[in-house]
Amino acid sequence: MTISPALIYGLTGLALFVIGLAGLLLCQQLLRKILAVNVMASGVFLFLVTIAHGSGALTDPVPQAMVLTGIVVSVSSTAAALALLCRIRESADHRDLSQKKGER
Amino acid sequence: MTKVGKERTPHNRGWQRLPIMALLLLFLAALARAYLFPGASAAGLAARVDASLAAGGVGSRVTAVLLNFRAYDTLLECFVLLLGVMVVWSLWRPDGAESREPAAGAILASLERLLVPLMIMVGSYLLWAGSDRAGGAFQAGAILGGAGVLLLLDSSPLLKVFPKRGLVPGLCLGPLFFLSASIAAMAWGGNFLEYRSPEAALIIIALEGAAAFSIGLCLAALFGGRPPEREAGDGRDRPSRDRGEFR
Repeated sequence: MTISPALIYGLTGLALFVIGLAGLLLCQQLLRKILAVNVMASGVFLFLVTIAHGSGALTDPVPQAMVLTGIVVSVSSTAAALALLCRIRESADHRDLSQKKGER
Repeated sequence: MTKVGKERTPHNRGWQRLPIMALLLLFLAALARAYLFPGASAAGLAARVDASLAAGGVGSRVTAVLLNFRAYDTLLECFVLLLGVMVVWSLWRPDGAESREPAAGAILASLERLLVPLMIMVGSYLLWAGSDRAGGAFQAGAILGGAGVLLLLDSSPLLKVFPKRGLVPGLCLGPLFFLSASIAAMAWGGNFLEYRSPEAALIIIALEGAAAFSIGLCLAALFGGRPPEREAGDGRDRPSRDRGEFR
């Protein structure tokens, strides 16, 4: 198997997804969790664009369409999460999950 | 709020992360293996899309997928955007968000005068180009949303052009038009969301226009973050700030 640019992009997308997943699981602050979900989404988009290009000269339009709608939907879900975060900060006076469950 | 900006890391948490890290590395390895050695079903859908492109009504393959072959996805995604706006609006509290005052300056104002007409033009071009090459409703909507964000940043007087009562109907226009067109397709003898070839081009262009308008408006409304205020006499005290909303 030769190293092609598509291979690098695909593996980078997978790595971004797992890095984002690690951030989602390991970070305590809610804002970092939101950012981690966005990193995961970027990894998925990169991967989808890569596999759309993967099969030779004929690009696959279905993953491209999924990326197009996915970007817009991820913006909207990020906005909803940020609104939730602002509301949590206003009402509960803490920004991370650690204070709710005691010291963990 | 003493620990703001600092990750809380007690001394005994470093080793607790190790099993999770190891599991994630295994997961990454499994994903990479599945990517590098795909199975037999990894041929993709490009050939099938090309085979049925003539019935799709538009020349662009991505647009045909978005608005015809997989229109169900796109319909639901339009509603997801609307849902996002509803979530953000229902979480809005008028007494929160003190830090929303933007630093409006001469640079922003002149940038806005330069860029907003250009963005509207580019967005319209992308919408028009979407029928036979790269472009389409989501790209056009994203650029229109960017123009809206730019206007919201210094609460431009141009926002007054847009009537306050028109915001909610404008947000709903795309999804509802999409839904009614797909139900109307049943009346013409097709299935739900099935556009037949002769009319398909016209329906798709109209759908794209409405969807792009609503997508742009939704994105700008998500950035604005606050619902349009009701007319006088609703009893709530009203902050004097006008920033960050459609007026």
